[in-house]
Amino acid sequence: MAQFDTDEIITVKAGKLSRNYKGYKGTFAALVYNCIHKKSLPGLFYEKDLVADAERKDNSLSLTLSGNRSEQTLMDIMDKALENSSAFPVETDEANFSINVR
Amino acid sequence: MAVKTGKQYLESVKKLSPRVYCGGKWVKNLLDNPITRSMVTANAAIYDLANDPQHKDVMVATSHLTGEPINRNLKVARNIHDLDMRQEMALLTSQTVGTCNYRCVGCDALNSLASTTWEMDKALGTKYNERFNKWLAYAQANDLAVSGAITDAKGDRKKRPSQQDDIDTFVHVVEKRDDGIVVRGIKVSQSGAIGSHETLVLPGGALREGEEAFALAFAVQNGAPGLTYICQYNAYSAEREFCDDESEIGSPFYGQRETSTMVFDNVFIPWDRVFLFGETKYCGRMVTRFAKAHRMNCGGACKVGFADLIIGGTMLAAEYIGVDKVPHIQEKIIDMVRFSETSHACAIAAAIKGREEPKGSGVYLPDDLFGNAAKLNIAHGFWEIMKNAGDIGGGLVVTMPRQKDLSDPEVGPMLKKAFGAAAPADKRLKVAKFLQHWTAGLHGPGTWHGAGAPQTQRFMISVLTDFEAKKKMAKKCMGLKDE
Repeated sequence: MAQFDTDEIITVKAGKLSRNYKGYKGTFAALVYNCIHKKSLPGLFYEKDLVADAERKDNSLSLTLSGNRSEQTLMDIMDKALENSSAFPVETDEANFSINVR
Repeated sequence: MAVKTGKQYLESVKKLSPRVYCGGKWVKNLLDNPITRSMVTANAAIYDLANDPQHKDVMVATSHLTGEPINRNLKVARNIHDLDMRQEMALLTSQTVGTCNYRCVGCDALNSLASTTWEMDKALGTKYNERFNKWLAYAQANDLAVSGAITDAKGDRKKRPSQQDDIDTFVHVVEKRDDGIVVRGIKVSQSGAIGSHETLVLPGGALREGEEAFALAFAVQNGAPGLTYICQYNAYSAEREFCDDESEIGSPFYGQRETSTMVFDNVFIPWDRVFLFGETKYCGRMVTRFAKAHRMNCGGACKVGFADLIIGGTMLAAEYIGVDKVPHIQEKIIDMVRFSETSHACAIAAAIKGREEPKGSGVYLPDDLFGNAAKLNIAHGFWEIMKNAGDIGGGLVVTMPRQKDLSDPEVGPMLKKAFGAAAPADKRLKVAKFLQHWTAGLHGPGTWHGAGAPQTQRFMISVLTDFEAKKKMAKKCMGLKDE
């Protein structure tokens, strides 16, 4: 049976906290587009003006969310955004992309 | 684990928050709103069927991509047996939940995509099939709930998509980027999209040269920014939303057939999720292949499962008033079975007579003529089945008080006296409410239009039937010679 190269691993970091997610190819590109152009995150339509700033550099996205939120809250928000992108938590050390959220 | 349980699906839904509007308000949590919850509960029941050893043969298949066990809702049919099990799944799921298997349209869409992307790659040298197979392998590995969106809003039917005053009535591309495309437009009547992880979007019909912007097929996650779902809302929605006891509703657990209007407001789709982009020539066959699969399943099997429930409810109604042995009642029940099983026979024939399409693709699709016959037959037969259910169920089906009134200290005893018959009043009212849901609700027009209105099946049957051959046979049989 064929092995399919379907995944991309994205590391989400908020301060000292970090978690890896496995999504289908293009997940990072979609997150970047939505943060930069739509100022929005998947599955968080009810959070108005959530994305304050976003900047991509190569395979990394620097994301600033509005308000003064704890690292854990930032991770919870990103967990929701990733799950709504059909990307799920995974245990691995290797990642293709990273999102630094603050 | 590739075959997930209902509980695992529900856990995943807790984290899903698509932009859903239902009955005048935004829904932040699909499980908190009684209407959206009914759709999600039905989907969970479909997941559970795949974990029931009794239904494993029907509900679980093997991925042709990975060799792993998968839910049949994500299976590409590779032979006649797969087609037969697919229509059996449609029957079983309808019998179980009495509403849509909300993964059904997605299943038929992915079979069309498997067939058509293979053909495109062969003819055009594109990489759509490779891309689609990767996406499918991912969906299978995560046992994603995948719905399908086909029908555009369409606007003024006299005009082509690009001639519409508002071209958003058709989903189209507004930007082509290095990393993907941006789409906008409207798809309507999308069953269960709100509680799905992803939706496969196909063109709504055949397109011509010059209409490339509308020639699109892609997969979108349901929480994608810019995507809004506006739920259907009707008297049955209001009943569920405002009642104080859902057990009183005609379909207490799984609700109506919940659909929504999907509005794409500049939604970004990465290239890895795009399976057709601008190739107008292939849109017609992509939709036709979807319809071929869906008419067998939606028409010839799903509605037969609904009919089984209606027939069962009607027989109970007859028993409860002591007329079940009356000859004309039995005759009407037999007629209901005749309409229903004729359609199922067509679905089985569509599967058995199915074939690889296109040759070499490895993808099997049902026989088109039998599939269309199945759908056309049940479109008309379902109204007959509803008519007989209303006939035998009696006026009570629409004149009944609410079940809860039986417990009222003042009117309860009056109602028990009024509606007690060969069975107590509570049983009679329960069955009457069940039949009300089926005969005085959404199912008539739903069955008529689902998988395409009957005029489309008539057209297809006229194209697929060799009428000249029939005339020739008749002439030969009667000895009529050509001049």
